[in-house]
Amino acid sequence: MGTNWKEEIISYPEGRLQLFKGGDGPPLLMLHGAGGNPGWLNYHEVLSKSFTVYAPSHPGYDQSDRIPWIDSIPAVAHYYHGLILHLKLKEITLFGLSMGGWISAEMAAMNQTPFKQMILVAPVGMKPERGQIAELFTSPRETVQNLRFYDKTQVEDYENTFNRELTFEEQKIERRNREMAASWCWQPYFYNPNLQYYLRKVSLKSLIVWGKQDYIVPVECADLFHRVLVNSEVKIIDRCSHMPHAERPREFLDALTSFLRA
Amino acid sequence: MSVQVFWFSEEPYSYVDEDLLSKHQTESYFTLSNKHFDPEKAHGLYKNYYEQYRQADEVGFDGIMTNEHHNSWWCMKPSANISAAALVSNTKNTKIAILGNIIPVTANPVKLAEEIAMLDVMSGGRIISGFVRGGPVESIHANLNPADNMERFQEAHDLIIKTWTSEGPFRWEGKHFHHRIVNPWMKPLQQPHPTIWYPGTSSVESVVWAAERGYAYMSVGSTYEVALATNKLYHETAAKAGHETGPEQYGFLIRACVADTDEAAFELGRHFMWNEKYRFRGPMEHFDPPGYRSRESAKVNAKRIQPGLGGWSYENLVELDQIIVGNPDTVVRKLRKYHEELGAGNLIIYGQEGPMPHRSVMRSIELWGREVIPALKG
Repeated sequence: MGTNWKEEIISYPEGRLQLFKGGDGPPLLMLHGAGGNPGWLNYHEVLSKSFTVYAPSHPGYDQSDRIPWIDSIPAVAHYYHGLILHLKLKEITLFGLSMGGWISAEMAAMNQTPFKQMILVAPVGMKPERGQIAELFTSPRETVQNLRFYDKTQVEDYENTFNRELTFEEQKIERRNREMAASWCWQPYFYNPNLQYYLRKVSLKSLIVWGKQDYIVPVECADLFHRVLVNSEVKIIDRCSHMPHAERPREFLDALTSFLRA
Repeated sequence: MSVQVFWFSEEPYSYVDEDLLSKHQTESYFTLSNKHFDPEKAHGLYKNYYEQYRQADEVGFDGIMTNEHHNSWWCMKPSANISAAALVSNTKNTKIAILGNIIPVTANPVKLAEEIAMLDVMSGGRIISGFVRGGPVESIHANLNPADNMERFQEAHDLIIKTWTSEGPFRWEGKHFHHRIVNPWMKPLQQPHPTIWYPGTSSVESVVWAAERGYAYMSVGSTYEVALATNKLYHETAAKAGHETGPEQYGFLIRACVADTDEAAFELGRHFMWNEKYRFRGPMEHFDPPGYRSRESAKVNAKRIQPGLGGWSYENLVELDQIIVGNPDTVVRKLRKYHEELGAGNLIIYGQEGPMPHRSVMRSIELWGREVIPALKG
């Protein structure tokens, strides 16, 4: 991967926050999913050509300290609103994957002023009307692993990135991350029933990206977001489950580029 | 040394058999569909189990222990307090040990405090009140966020004790429970409150939790060697916390049955293996959901006192005295190890399992009462 980035630990406001930061240009806040911060990957690198990418680990995740009052997704959103003021960021591109997409949507609903635009990649946060969000907390690891991808052979270096045996330290982190996701998303299960009403006032230019065969968060949810986000467009990627950035990287980056260029 | 002997049955739905389990319980015990449950059959089983309880009461058991589990074919008791209420009216003399109420999953600990107080008053002070966190499965059943389980356990415990020991009305504004007026009319007959029991298998954290509060610790499902270790830790920790504890604060649950001959008892005892293979089957995620164990406890558990009881044959378990079977003399001799050497002042006899014939269980209870218990106490 590129060298145009660094990892920082910043103190805000009552704990240490792990932050991957790199690139030049206007700020892009990248919010990771329930599994944790994957670090600096290819799409970070591509985006860092046009943006200064800020990719924090949520409080309690990875190397970030747990902060007791952050006990729900809206609380995380409030936390990040504080952080962007603290970092004096403006004209931000908000970018959220899965659970990070839900945090992004809550942030936009709270106050859209700091943001220029928003990209949501298979976000949770809405209750599907027909299907349901897959059981992640009590399903065996292999089951969840199989839901993530439509076709694992499309994933570059799948074995090493997603299927290798974790070190003891990595297992501890995974355990912590799962605990954080459970404490924020257990009930209602990965959604906020009010989010659809909150989002009606959001006029941000938004892109909603979804895998057509998302086995974790049904693709019908793309439409639920699109219906309430008045200035949104949807990009559905075929032959793809819940992680378009890993499974269909080219289509994913094309979608981003054309949205950002427009 | 005095010893208190308790009768215990899981009240299993004994019509579940190897054939059904091997075909349909493919993933985890709590995913076996309840379409296999027949309420008519269950009704018949309850009749047997309550006849057994009445017999245990009559022949001289000191107590009967009850409990609560969910989504389980091996325990037909979804409410410990309903079970205890039935025991109150089916027995005259025995203590009734509720082990226990799953206090983190309750929405209203004050109501639990009232219910337990009501049972204590109705029974004339025969209640022992156990508090448990529940297995992870109980959290999942109640859709309780497992990451909140320990915090809710602590807070519910504090609220229940305060409800029993303070004059109302008072206000409770905690993190998980909020009551603007706590003032239940019903208070326990035993003052300041019923004896409290806390169970554990081998987790160090559980032993310490009970010992620091001076609550009795019941070892439910560990080996003799593990029990020696937890017993030592329990009394040392309690002493450090300023509690005087003796054998009456320590108990051991053991599978045991008596028959007229060693041979007959050995055959009867085979039924203890009924659920051995399937009861704890399931993916790790069902037994260790995210956040159920504290980050500290996960470390402690990594160093859990081993080994557990899984994977051993019936013959092994009998040989190791983890299952006690025999004629009255044999059983008395074998049990001395637990109350005299280990120092368990409470023996909880898990005396019935799965498809054990009702008549044999009734005879076993009779022999316990007529011969074993007097000999243990003598």
